[in-house]
Amino acid sequence: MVSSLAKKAWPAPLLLVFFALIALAYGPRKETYLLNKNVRLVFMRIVKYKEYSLHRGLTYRLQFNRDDYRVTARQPRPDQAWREVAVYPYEGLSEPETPGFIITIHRGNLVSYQFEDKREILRSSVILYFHSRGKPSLRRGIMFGDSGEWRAL
Amino acid sequence: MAKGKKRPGQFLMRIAGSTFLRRRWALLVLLAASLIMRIFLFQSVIPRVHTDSVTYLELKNLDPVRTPGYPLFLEVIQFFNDLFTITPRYLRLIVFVQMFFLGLINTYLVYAFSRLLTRSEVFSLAMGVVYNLDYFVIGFEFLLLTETLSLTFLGLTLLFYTKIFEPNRRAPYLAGLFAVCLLLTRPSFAGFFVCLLGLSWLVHIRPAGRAGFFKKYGPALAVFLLFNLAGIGCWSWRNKIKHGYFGISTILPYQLGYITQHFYRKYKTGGDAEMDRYAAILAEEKGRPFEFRRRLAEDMKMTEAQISRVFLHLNLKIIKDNFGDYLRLLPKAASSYYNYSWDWTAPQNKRIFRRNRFTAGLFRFFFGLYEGIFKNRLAFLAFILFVPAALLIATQKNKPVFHLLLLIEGTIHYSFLVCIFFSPGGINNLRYRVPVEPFILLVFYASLFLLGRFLFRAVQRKLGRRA
Repeated sequence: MVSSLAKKAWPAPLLLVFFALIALAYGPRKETYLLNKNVRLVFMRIVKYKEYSLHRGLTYRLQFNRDDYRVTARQPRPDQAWREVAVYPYEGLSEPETPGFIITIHRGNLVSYQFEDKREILRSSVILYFHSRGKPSLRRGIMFGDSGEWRAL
Repeated sequence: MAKGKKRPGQFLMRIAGSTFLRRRWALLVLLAASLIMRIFLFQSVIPRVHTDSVTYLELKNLDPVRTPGYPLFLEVIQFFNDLFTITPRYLRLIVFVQMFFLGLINTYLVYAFSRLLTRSEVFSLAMGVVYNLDYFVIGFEFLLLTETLSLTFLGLTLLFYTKIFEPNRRAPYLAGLFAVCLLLTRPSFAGFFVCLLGLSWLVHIRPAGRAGFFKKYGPALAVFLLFNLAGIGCWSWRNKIKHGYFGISTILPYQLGYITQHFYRKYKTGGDAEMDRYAAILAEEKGRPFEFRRRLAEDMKMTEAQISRVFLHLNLKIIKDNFGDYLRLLPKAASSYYNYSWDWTAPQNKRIFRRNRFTAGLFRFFFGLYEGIFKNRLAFLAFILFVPAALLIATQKNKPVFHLLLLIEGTIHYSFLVCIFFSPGGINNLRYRVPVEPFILLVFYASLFLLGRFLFRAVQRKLGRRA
């Protein structure tokens, strides 16, 4: 009887062990997880606004401040004012190493990277690093190339 | 020989002689072949993002037109990636999981359904191979869209639903669970459970009024039904709380918007002043659904739920007042649904085909074959209606096979009807067919196989009698 029960119910302990292992891994790696998640979400949102800029004919600007990053869009209308579209907080204790970094996306292309003070970045590529305040040695970045491509590191 | 020592080949002999391997050799060969093919293809794939794909990338900020199935799937993949720092190539990782996890499950499902229909190991193996060479379907494994996941959930729902009638105690729970996953991945399948239950009732109720049906299957089917209702209810309730809209998604008004885009100018004013005002905005935006949505959101500061309600009423009124125009769109919608092309994977094709010449040759062969069938009206009607109908008649006495066949046919035509009635003439129609495409092919090939087997056996019998 016990063996027949074990035969039928084997997925349950397996699932329990699986979730226990995940929980064990999550504890010590929480900072790494949140930092990775933060970089991934930034990456995915750039992908999203790139597509939107292409299909909606808008120009989007992402400004990375110390505590959050703001997305503004410029309407294809006569007033040409920048309108705030979304504000995203960083995940966990993550923050950018160089706050004030701005990227502009126009018609599906990354067209400029600059700092708040309008200092244009002329190098062939630039890396926006994020680090965790809880574990300063941890850092992950996104590299933006002059071709308008970008990738997480 | 000492008792503890074993001859070197003994282990291999034991493996070769094991019942599991002997019974499952075809499946293992099939999965190995699918895996190897995908390893080669994966190296040539560059993940590309479609406009729809970006709406699935963030589970946290889910657009109300979307359901959580696919975004949750992506989130699970990314959770492990974030936790164990596997790769920074996020999109490629998603494609990897779709190809090697979902792709292999789908291959297994095609194999399993082939076995259930024909009881032939060789035919099932062949069908699995044919599935893997249908680039129209497997090409979607490279895209960040819901098709591949929908196919998996659709197959699992059908498989476990059929097992309810074996009967299998766990089947109703699993069938219900996968049906909910399916409708939360693709809301067009929200009424699918009604279709399944109705068809089963038709098959198992005969002879008329047999009381045993409800006694035998009633509790299991009730579990399946409750799972579906609970799934729909829970997500709708969540939408009510979060967006003030009771329903699994707000996509329907936009889908109807693609219908009314063809005749929005024929809106009849005078009935309701408020609706007339919205109709004027729709006319200013040339009937384009998402431009209309943007106008209401920005200029009138309306919420998603309000926009959805307004748009639904407006569309229904336009359709009701111009029903003839609506009906005239249906043939075009049907032909667009049953079109055959590789448009969706076009940006990938050149690179993949150049690097995988042998596989590309096979892809092209099947493309030519299916294109020939889909674009020839007579061949197409035979393929989609006459051959399956003949198979249904032929299998009438074999209840399990007849039931499964009827469920598969029901699935195929349910998908067709939902798509043509709610998104006629839309360019996306072709894509909506992908989850049922393997089933369309399966029924066709199974019919040919069963007919061939029947003729072969008849000839054998005749020859045997003469001898």
